[in-house]
Amino acid sequence: MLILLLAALLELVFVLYIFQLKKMLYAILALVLVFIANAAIFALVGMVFVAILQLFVIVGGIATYLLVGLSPSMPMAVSISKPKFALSAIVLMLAFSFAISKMGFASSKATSINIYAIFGNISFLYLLVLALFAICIAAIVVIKKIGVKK
Amino acid sequence: MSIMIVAILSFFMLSFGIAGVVSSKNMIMIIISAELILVAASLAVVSFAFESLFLSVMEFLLTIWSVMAMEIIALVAAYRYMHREEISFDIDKLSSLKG
Repeated sequence: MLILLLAALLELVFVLYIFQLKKMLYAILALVLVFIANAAIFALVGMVFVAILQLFVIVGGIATYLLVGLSPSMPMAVSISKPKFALSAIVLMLAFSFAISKMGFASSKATSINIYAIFGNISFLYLLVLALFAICIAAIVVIKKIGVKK
Repeated sequence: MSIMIVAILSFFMLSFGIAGVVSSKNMIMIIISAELILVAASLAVVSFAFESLFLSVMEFLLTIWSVMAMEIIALVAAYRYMHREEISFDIDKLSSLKG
């Protein structure tokens, strides 16, 4: 329990690092650390397979692709309005903590049954994933065509 | 108790992500904040899956991870184009993408 709490705090610290660090490279590395801490939380909760998948797919694949893809502009500074970020984060946290205080975990069974009724067909989810990747590849093709025209 | 910690962490991550989207002007930071929102979604799925007998975690996590991958691929593609054409990443100046 204590280790889980520490991992959660560590993840929050890494999230704050994303918005505090000046260089984009360090912000992306902090995002990778968030993913690693997320995998640690999955493992501590008992979902070791999900944690390994998170490490392999997200940290090993997507984060590396992000680092390599964005490498030409690494000295770019992060432009973020810190007072605006702090104010909106505090307001949202207060709103969500009010929602948590009113939320009963016992009612989640009914919600999950409804969700299962909607997404019960696994093939529907796989089709959704396929459609998302198709949209992504179409976006790349459109961007390339715009570049050729210019 | 551990489920509650994960749920509260997911709500915190969601609020940080939304605050990042609202307050940043850089396009890359907005996409990274959206990644944080999706991480919060995966944490919420895991926390609620303990309470449910019917909710299968892997299908939802696969969907969330594919959305994350799609965002990153679209970001890198748009970034490479904008960097080559010397377009600013400030979202106030993104009207130059209209052509």
